[in-house]
Amino acid sequence: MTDSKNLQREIANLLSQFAFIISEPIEGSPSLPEGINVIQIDFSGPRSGAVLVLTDNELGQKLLSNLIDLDKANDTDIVDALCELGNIFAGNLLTHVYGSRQTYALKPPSWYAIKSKDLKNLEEFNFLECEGSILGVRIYEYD
Amino acid sequence: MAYNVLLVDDSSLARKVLRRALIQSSVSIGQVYEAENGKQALEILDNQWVDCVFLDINMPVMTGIEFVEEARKKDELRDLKIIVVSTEGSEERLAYLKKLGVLEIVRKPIAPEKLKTVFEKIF
Repeated sequence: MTDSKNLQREIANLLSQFAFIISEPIEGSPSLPEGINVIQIDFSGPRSGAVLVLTDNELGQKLLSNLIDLDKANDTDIVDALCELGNIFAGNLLTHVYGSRQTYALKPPSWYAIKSKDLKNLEEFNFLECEGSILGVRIYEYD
Repeated sequence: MAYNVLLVDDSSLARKVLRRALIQSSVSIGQVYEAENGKQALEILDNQWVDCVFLDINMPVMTGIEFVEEARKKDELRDLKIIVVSTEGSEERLAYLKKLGVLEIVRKPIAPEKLKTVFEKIF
């Protein structure tokens, strides 16, 4: 099993445990919606970098519906839900990739919206299809 | 007896999920207070009686670890029951939290059943 497939499987497990959402790995870079959310969680420790999460508003809405029965969420709720998802990915994936003997400091998640055509290095992301939404996750190490 | 609890997490979704899990537990819940970071939590504890704190680690302003360190310096909070609910996976940091007297560490994502078990265990 490749590292990428292993990571995709871990992401799918976390998403399922967190919000009962079923996801399937995608090979390569899928077509993305015109506008997309980016959640960034910077980390520092033996290595420094950021965990980046790409997804659409619909996945945030699914999280809120599944977890707290909120069916018509506003933008603030959706961003909050996506940031919490990013937080869960960051903490768990860093342990998954680097092991529990390394200690990392995580910054709180930051969010911004971007046009998907402006995204770079999409081939570095691990993409999954999540009940109609696209989710991309990348662990980026600074030089 | 109903227990007062304090939920400390910068994510409102995380606090709502915790609140829901607690209400669904068999433990009688009294007042539920919420704080977005450790500093707000200490301010609430200055004014309210709380039986148990559910605490995230990675928060702005004051982290969960800083909160526990500050709380343990205060006589009235030295024995406060604290349960950490976090994505933290570092063995070193988890050992430090235990040393500071944290009763339980629940890894996010949380399963409501697990949370109920922990809550019922400590009361």
